[in-house]
Amino acid sequence: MYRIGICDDDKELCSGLEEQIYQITKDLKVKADVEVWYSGEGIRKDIGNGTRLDLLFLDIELVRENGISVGKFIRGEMEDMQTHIVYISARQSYAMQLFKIQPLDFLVKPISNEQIREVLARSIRQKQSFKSCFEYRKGSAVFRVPAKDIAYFVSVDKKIRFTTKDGEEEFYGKLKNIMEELPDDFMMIHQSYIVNQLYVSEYAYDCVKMSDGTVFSISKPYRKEIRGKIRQYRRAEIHGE
Amino acid sequence: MVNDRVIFELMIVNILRVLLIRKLMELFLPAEEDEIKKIRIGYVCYYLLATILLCTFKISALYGICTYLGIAGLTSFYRGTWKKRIWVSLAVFATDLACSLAVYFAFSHQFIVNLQAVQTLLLLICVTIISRTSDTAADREIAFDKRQTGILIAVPAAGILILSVLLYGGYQGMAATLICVSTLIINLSIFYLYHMMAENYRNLRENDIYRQQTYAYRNQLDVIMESQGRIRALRHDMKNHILALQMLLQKKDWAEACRYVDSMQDFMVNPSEYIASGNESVDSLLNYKLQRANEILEMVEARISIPEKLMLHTFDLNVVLGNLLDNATEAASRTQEKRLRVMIKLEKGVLFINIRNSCQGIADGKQRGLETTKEDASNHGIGLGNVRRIVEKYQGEMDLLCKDGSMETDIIMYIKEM
Repeated sequence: MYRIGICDDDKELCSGLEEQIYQITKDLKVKADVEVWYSGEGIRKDIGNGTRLDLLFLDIELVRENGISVGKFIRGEMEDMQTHIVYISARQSYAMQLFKIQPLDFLVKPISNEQIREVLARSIRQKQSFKSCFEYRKGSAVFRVPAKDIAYFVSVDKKIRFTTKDGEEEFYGKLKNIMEELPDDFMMIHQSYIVNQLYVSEYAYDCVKMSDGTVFSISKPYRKEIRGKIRQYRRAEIHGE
Repeated sequence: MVNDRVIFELMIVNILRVLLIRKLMELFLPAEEDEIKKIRIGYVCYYLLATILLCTFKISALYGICTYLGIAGLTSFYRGTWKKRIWVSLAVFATDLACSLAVYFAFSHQFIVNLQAVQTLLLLICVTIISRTSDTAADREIAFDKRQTGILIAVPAAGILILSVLLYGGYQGMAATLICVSTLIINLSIFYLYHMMAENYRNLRENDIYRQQTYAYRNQLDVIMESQGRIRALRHDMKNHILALQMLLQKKDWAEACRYVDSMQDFMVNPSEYIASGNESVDSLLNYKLQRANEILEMVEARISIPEKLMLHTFDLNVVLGNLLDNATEAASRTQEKRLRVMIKLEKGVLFINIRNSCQGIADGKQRGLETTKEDASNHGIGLGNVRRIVEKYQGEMDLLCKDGSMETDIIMYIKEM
């Protein structure tokens, strides 16, 4: 089930969008459940109470609590990097703050069917590539964690420590070996760091900043490779590969 | 025994000489990062060749020709036009030769090791002077047209001729030394002249970009005035429009009312405002360039999602987007489809630019830099070099890919915020 949210104070637009989404997901053979909110406060309350979405179409210019603060709430307080946010707006220009929320895309009203289809397909494609679980051993027990929940791995001495939003875990192992088991979205940026692209909030040539504020340096031998990967990744995004 | 020592010393002094030649060459020729290994091997080969030749033939015509060919061969490892390579190799060779002969005539007619050391010392002084006067990064990338290169080449070539005549004409002593020193000075001046020409050239280019920027801003001003004019006109007639709409709604003629609203909306749309991202420099440049592209192309698309403020110099952005769009428009106009698409996106501190245009006559695959099809080759293909330099400034990466009759340029640049 693909959970899609729409949040806009324009009721006409919401119902139109909802209808189009159902139509397109039916074409794409994806089961979807669409939920609609007419105010920023409403969606904020429900998300705070545990509503989880895969994709959210969010209006920037909501009356009281606007799209920026809802986005900040999702990314910041809820520490949720997995919900794809697509901003919709009547305007074509965007403030820098909006880019910090890392939206999947921006759509300008009126939104065409083609645009919705493209953005839906992209969202679904990106989520699908991220289904696998990461397995690790601790003593004789085997643990499994969804790969998409892991933000980064750090190796300390002979142990590997990894961070999810629920906390940290440790086990014995080598980073090189676990790199082979991880999906493509993970990048080795240093002998002792592996990061999940999803949780990177900012790239520079020689370091990355994670969404929790940690900064890792990219060691010299990896820099060019990482730059190439970022470029490939962006390319793939626009070509729908 | 003595001979062995002589050869040993000569080998050591020659290492320094070759290193100096390398330093001199790299002041004027840019090296590809991937080629550095090859370049090193090239210099080692050159060193071995020069040392063996010097030991067997001493200073002679054959030695001279071989070392020149060696230097000319080494230039092929660097990026640059062949005209520039000839100039650099001639100028480097002439400097080296003038240094050698000046010392040779001044001190002795005998071939001794100390002479070599003094020659190399003189070369070191020359290289230091040249490197002080030249501004490397900019000087390396410049290419001149035929006439300028002709003048640049003529001076060291004439210098070499004078020196050869000196060597074989049986001249000696003070007079010959003075002639050598004068040739050396002329040669140093030509390096400096090159530097000045490069600087002048760069200023011209910068002016060109600023001029373009001015045109773009003027165009943007027109676009904004036009947009505002339309809104003002609509507001002026608003009363009439509302009356007309009221009439239609009272008659319950929904279809006609919808059409009426649509036409009002169409009236507001300014056809020359392609981009309104709110980022003034991007908007003005793109509106200007895309308007021109639209005049000669069939299909022009643009998708821009960038913030209103971008931590990127307007000048740099103009160089990158201006040059790429000019090239792409130019290439697309010579095809049947006449397609152009621009995408600019900022995500996670990385600016991604993707330009795709239809093209013809370029082989499939990755391209390093493109050969120009314009006649004025010296002024062209430079654009791409400038783009590359800006991209490197932002530690980014550029990639050109040609496939199935369309050319795609990818660029990423890091926009620092951390």
